[in-house]
Amino acid sequence: MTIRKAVTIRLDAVLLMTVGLGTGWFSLSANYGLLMHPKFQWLSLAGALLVLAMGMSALLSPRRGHISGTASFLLLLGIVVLGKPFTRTTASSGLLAPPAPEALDIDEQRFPFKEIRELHTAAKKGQALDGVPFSALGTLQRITLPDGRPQTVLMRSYMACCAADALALGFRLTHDLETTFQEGDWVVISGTLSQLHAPDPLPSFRMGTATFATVHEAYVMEPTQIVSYTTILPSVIEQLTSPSTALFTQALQATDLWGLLQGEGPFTVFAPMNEAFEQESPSRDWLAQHIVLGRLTDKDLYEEMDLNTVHGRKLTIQAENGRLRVEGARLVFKNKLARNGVVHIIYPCLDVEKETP
Amino acid sequence: MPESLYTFAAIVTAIFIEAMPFLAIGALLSAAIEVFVPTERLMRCIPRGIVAGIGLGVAAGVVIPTCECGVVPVVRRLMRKGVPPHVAVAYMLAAPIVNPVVLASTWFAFQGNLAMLGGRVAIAVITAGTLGWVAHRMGTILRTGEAPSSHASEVSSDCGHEGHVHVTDGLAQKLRAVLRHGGQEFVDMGKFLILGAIAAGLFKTFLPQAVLTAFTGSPMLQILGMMLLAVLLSVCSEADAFVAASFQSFSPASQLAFVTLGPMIDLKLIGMFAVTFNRRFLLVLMFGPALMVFVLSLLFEVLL
Repeated sequence: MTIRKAVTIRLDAVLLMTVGLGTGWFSLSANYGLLMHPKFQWLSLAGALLVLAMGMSALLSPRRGHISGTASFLLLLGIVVLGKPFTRTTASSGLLAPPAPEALDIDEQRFPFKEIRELHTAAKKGQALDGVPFSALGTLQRITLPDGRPQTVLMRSYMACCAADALALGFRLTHDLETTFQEGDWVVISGTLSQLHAPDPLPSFRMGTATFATVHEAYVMEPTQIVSYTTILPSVIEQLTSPSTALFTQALQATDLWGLLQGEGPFTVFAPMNEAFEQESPSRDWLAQHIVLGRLTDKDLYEEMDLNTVHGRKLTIQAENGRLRVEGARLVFKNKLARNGVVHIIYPCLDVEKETP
Repeated sequence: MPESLYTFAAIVTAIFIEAMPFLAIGALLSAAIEVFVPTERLMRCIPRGIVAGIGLGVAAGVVIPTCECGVVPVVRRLMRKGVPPHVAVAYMLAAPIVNPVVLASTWFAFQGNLAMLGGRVAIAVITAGTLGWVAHRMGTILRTGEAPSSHASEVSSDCGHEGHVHVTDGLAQKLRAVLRHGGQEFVDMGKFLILGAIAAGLFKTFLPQAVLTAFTGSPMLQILGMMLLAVLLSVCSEADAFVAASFQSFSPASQLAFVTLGPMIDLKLIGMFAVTFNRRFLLVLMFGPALMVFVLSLLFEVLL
């Protein structure tokens, strides 16, 4: 027997045993779901045991080997060692949903939990989903629309058998969450679906191991609440600590309104930018006119004529040419979502009385 | 580590882990046929007529559920034991589609769409039957060195024990022989599974999305595009219906082309076919099912 043959014979057996042991270990590991659907765990384990038995048999009984077969298995081993597909990375984040921590506070009575796939299927069947309330789990991704605009989407990857057949489905969000969340963050979004009258064509894209990720063209998600696995949404006062509204925030901190905003709310705050903030020490009443009870996103504001502030005065909403103005102020940065409300950054200040009316 | 390397490694490993149990079962089944089933008994089960033989091959696919990765070693062994080409080829092409597990997954994936389920079975049976008939007409389809032996069950050519007579072995020895033959078969076929998985991993990781978009123009292009994808993606027949159903912008006929061609020919199967069949029949296997699936899917498009 030549050295080459002897090496091939033993190496074949060792490789078979490595495959058996490796897949056996992986089929029992917590990361199995990264590559395979958990329902096949037993099958992988059974296959691993069979290969292990064949490897042991080959080790005990010398037989003719083929260098090409040995080389192929070594190549696979190299790919596994270099690529480490059994570990969690951002590329695999869409496949393995993290277990829900206790902090997740989802109102399932009002927003029943739905799989994104379920919503896609219902839309495909022609069911009317406009305005239907739901909660859905997924990862946040940033995509570029055909016209070059960035878009935040909620995506979820699904696999029928293994990561090679993974596909990702998702919906566009009406709010840009770039400043609050990072790409790949797991979130539960509670809200409604809104049907577009003129759906945009959206090309599919690659997302991790899913070669084709599809965003629904006809429906967009309007979040009412976003609960993150990694980042619980900031509170209103945390959203107000942005440097662009520092002067307004400092003035609020000097009053009891700061304590009020730490409550459950929800509140809608119109925070003037520093550039618009003229008064050195504004009165409490003037500040209170910038706070409204309730969580009012820009979409809600379109449907309101007047808003009742915590001060008691009404604010008037004007919508001209599709642009919102609140007491003459533009919403420069809108919909900074918070767990107890929403903050809109405005310019200039609200055109309201500076003293108590 | 670049994300694309992780994605590539994940896809290659996932395809291997998914197919590995089926390949192991197929290799052991093949070895069991070699060791336990005498040629004479096997041949007594084969009907003489071509149509009946093809019918038996297709029906065997329903009763012996085997996916495409496991079916090649079984067919290779059956043919080496003298099973006629038309029976073996009909079984090889139909089994990954007509088996109950795949039928159930098709039913669920297409939400109880009988036309898709029936269309998939019909195209698979017609294609498997036609290719079985072609194999019969060609006569010799096995690669040199794989030719059927009149006493193949008694003399194993690749177990390392030339001239060893399994029929006289005890049960323990026979079981050890099954493991030895199985291991050999697993490595022989496994290398093509690995190379196919690597090729599919490369395509799935680096294939530009624009390639797919280019095929969305006409119904004919859609069918061709989905056929190309079926070969490149090498998705297991038990999962391919779910993948096909997700291509919402493609017509049902093109989705049907995807789920019927993929289990018959894909990147991981080409190598396995190459080591089993001669060059002439390899060409038939590479282009015959594609042609049949294209024509029949087009017919499906026109009729429904």
